[in-house]
Amino acid sequence: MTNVLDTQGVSKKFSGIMAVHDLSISVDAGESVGLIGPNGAGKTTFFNCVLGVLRVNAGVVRLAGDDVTEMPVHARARRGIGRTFQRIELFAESTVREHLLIAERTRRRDGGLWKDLIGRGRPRADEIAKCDEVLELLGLRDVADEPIEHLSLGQGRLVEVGRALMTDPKLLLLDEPTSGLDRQETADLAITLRAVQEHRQFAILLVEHDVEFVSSFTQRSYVLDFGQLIASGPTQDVLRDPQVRAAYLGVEEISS
Amino acid sequence: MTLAATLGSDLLRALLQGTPPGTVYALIALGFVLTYKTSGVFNLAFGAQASISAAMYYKAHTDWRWPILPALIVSVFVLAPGVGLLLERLVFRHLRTASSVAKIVVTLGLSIAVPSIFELVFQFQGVAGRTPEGIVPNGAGVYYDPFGVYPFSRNELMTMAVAVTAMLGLAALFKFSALGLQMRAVVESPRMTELNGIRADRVSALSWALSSSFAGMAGVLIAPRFNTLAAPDFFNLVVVAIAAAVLGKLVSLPRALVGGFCLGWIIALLGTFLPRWSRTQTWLRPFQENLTPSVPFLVLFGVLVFWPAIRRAREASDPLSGVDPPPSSVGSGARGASRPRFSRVIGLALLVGIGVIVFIRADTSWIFLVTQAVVMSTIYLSVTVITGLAGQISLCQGTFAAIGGFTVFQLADRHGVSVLLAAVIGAVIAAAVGAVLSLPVLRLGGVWTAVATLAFAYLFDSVLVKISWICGGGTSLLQGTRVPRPVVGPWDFADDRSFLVLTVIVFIVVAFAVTQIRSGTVGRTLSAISGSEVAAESIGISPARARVTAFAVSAFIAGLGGALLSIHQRNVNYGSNFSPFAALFWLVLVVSLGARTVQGAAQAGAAFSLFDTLILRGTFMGWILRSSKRIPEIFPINPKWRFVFFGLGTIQFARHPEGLVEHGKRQMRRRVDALRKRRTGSGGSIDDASPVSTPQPSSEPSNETDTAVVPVGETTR
Amino acid sequence: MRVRFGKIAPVALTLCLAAAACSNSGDSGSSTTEPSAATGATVTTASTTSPSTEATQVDATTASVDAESTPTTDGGAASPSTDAATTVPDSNRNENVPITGVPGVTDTEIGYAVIGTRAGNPLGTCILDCYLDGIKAYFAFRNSEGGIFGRELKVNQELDDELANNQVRSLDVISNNQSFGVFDATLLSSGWGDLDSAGIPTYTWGIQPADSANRPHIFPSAVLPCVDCTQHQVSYAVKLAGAKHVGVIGYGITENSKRCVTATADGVEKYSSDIGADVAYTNDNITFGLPNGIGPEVSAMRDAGVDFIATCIDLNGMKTLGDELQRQGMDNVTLYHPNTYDQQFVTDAGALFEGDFVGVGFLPFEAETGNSTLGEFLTWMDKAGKTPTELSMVGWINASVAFEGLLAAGPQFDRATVTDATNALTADTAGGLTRPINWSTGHTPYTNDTRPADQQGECTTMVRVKDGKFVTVAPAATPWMCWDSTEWSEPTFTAFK
Repeated sequence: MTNVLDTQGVSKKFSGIMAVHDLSISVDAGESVGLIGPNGAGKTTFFNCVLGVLRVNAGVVRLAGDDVTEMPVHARARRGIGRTFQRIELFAESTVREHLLIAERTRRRDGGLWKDLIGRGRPRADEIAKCDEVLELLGLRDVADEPIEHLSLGQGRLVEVGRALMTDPKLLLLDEPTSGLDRQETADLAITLRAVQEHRQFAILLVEHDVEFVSSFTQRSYVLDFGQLIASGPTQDVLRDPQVRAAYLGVEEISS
Repeated sequence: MTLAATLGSDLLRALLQGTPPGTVYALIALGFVLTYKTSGVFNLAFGAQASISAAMYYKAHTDWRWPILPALIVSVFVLAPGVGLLLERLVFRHLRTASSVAKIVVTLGLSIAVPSIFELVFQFQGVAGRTPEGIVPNGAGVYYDPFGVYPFSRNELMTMAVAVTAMLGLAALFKFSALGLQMRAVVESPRMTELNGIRADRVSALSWALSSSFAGMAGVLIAPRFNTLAAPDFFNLVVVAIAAAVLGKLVSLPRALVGGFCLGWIIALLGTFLPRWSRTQTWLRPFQENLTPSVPFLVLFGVLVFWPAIRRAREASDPLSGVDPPPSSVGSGARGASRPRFSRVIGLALLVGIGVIVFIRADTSWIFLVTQAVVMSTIYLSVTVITGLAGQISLCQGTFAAIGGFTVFQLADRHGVSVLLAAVIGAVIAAAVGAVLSLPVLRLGGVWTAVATLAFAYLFDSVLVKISWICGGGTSLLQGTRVPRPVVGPWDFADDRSFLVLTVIVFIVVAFAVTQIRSGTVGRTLSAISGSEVAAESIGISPARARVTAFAVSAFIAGLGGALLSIHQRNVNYGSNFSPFAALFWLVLVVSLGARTVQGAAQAGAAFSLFDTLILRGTFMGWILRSSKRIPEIFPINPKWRFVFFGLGTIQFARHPEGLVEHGKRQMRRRVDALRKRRTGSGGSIDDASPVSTPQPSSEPSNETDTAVVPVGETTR
Repeated sequence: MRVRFGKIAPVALTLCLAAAACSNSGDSGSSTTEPSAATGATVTTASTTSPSTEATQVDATTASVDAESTPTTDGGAASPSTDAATTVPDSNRNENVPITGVPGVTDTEIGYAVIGTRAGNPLGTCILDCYLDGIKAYFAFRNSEGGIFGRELKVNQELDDELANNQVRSLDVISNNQSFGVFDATLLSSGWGDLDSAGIPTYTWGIQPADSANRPHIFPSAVLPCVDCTQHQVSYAVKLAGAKHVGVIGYGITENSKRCVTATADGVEKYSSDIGADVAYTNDNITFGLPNGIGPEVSAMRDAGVDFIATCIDLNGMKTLGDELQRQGMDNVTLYHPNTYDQQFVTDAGALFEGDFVGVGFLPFEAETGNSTLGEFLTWMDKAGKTPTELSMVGWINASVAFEGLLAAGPQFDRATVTDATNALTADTAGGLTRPINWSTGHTPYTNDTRPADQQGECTTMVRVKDGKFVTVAPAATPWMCWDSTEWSEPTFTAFK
């Protein structure tokens, strides 16, 4: 089985400071991998390098074996990277279903100015059906026609997941999905995500502070500190690693 | 040897000659940077602020014969800071968290409204040849020659001294004083500042008073260079000065100063050497003809497009720009569809009724005005596409329209092409220009798109308009840019009623196309991008491609509309229809009435064409009173009021991007809803889930919940 | 509703400039060819003298013939004995024929609409109001004589086009159809095409030659059929100034202004050997409004030894130019102004323009009245308590042409007959205030290359600034300078009536 994501020696500098240094990780199809570390460890920077938001200074990013290091964000997205945002990024004044519809339309790449002009740009029945399928899966069916301004934060997060799912991702990057959620919402999110992942078979790379969530959700993890990989392996083991604990202590409590 | 010596002395002389105008640019660039640093506003109204102080000074010193000092105090130290405080209190305080694009539209509106208000209040009118005096006695008449090459007048030396002193003083203020730091802090994060115990409101008020005084000072100092005091001249100067300010990335005072001087020097050097060289080197002649007048705009455009640092500067210096989404398209139209449909039917019936009455009863003059309203509405749909759908501010829609108009003139007049075909070709050419222009411009984003398009508009205005294959040629010399009306088969559109029908059909077709685009892939894509660009990219949308499409479509519509306007008026009338400043007023109008809907465009078109006759000239009042003889004395109202009215209307845009009319309708709907709810007693069916966007912890209580200006993610920041 | 701002002013201005510059060239009417035609058409003012026995009047033709060779005072024109009978007998002029169905015409009055720019004038000059003063003064003057065809002349609509609404206001006049004719003084003449199509006799301030071209119902105050014909006037000024090296400058903003530079420079080159001066510097690419000053250009002219500058720029630009010349120590350079006939402006500028030449499109106020209606103009303006200005003179001239057209059409008139009768006038001088205009060809534009055989001559007038005041260059009694071919000669000084 080939790796969905494979990075080799990725480095990123910000005005002389190494934010990410020589990082090589891989994610297999269908598995869930955590990326943890204290604040400022370079998780988000690395995330952005994988996504294409930032250009790497050195190293290679491969998606399903293809080198995507030079590709812009949207091209990588089309090759199967979906994502959610730490601070929810939704399209203002659109309904939940509209979020999924535009993602579906983008994936199909069959829209265009001319089709719009001859009236074939409106959502078609099969597209709506496909969206509703995902909405059902995420338990968002009831709020499908609500504008996103009416949703709770947890629902907003799920809309992001649903929007990403519409692109048929091979890999879903979740950027602190529990941030802002209360305990109950976090638990619900974990259940829903696991169910969806089972159903749709995609890999997950998770950046997360909530160690409980990480340990319950991922099989293995990478730990970063000061831009460097300090540990990797099965999540439970990694979390017991003294070096990891040292890195975390003083910054955040480990609740497990 | 002697050649080198002459060259050297010529060089020195050119540099000296470029210094006085360079000082002017430097002074304005400094003021511009000052405003940007202390208020975070890309203040296009800077010129307007400068012009009213200059006018006040002229009024006091020359008309009322006050001595220099009191006149200076009143204009620079009373009026200017007063205006600054007023603007801060009434406008910008409420816009601190608005998007930078919204702010630029507001300043655009103010740059139209403020001078008109001043002129109305003080009964001021600049007169040709009445040169305002400087702030030193006999400033224009006494010369000093420091190098024995080129003498400077007292006024010029004074201006130079003030510019350099101001630069040093302001730099010191920012570097060493607590106030300077606070001013910058307030711009970067007003909320954080509040937390640190600094009163953001007071600091921001102070900032505005300071920058406005500086504008006033600049205005008074610059005024002697003009032979007539007119606000548009100041606006043009600001556009030039932006080029200098941009060289300093909008934040560096010394660089703005140097940038200003450099502009003056470059222009003087070109003016000295290009004509000389082009006499022997004929290939230089086109450069000489076109380069000199367009240098500032070329520099501005070039810097924006080819200097990548400026893009990074945007991110670094304008922390709010990244998080504020531009106005998004109307996705909410679907909600509560029953009532709008009902009112839409009534509206449509009313419109058809008016149309029939106009068609049957109206005389030539009314037909003309109504046709013009329809054509302008068509042009305004281009704004609906680029601003309403794509969330971009384009300030060169007039140029696209002009391309349409000139194409019809050229093809129909010179090559005998059918007029309607020529109009379509014109639109296609405009679309191509729009697409090509958008390639470099759209990477800039936000405010920079606005400025780059403004530079393009001025470039077109200063260079391309006089090129004979664009809008000149032998015929235009003898009889102007006349355009014939089309004849298609049995229909001769020289008849005004037939032509009205034609324009209505075109409008309906374009409006239908716009609604199709809005509800189709392109519209949804653009809506997604303006909603959240990063999120849109994350699902595979290429923002650049979508925006090129939007620009091309918008330019096509503008080109088509411009062609129609020229056919309608039977002349291109570039000066009155399409000049950069005239086209700025379009944007102001559309944006204040509603940039997102077809209806908004139609209302803007109607306002443009009919507001004057119906409201200001009292015709409407006459209808109500059922006699044109009983129209009250206050009519006709001074036409300047329309600039005041619509200019100030843009302030609403920042708070309610849907426009005045749509906002009013929503308010009404909400009130009706509340009424109903009260009547039924229950809370209705609205979900009780806590909204994603919790109330902002900002200082403004007036933020409506329906605007959705607030990004959903803002809460968790 | 349109916007006031932007390059409206520049465009309008440059058109003015081109117009003014070229008003010096152009139509000398049929002055040298067919006396009878001119006589037949020329209407002189009704001064109080009794009908003379001499059948021929001293009109444009005879005047210039009289004063053929060298600069002389034209006794004929100045002589009070020459008479001022009109070609239409007075009895005819007072004949009141009932007319129905002609807009604006009742049994007692003939109504005219006046459209002009008041609000939003970027030049800040008095246009509509001054124009109205002139028209009303002329109407008062004629009405005091009993009006025409038993009717009084009257302004029955005053419309401010607010700079940009000329077309709308013109259509208003067409729609309400209450006026017989239109007077139009605007900076942006977008409505003339509609007025022409509607067949309404329209008398205009002729600064926009392009908009009156090929429009037979438009009668501009200065007929400017030629945009780029070479001319004598500037060369004559150069000669009078005793200058050796001429600089010619103009804005690069429109083709018109560029052509003006070319034509002026060509003229000086053409007569170079006759006037003993050459063109040492040309620049047709000055940035409009001179935002950067004009330092480098003036330096270049100084280096080229220029001692006379002919310009195609507006009065504001002339001020900037004058200041810069003073700064660079070139006070002694003489300027030719195409567009500065504004005493207040020149007075405000102090000594800046001393000794300069200023082209004027009509009989200068400084000229002797002679047989023209200048005296009446000044009298009736004074009676109304108004100051004579360029625009009030334009209004007066326009009104004169309107009156003459009515007179020529006869008591049974309508718009078409008045237009046709006016267009039949071949040497119309608007009461001695303009050079003779041949309306039968005056609507057709031509260029230097296509200059018709009967348009080779030119009649112009100009003034010079002396002690801050304008004085005519030609003798005050014969202020017009005429040339009858494109070859060099001394001008013939003459007066018209």
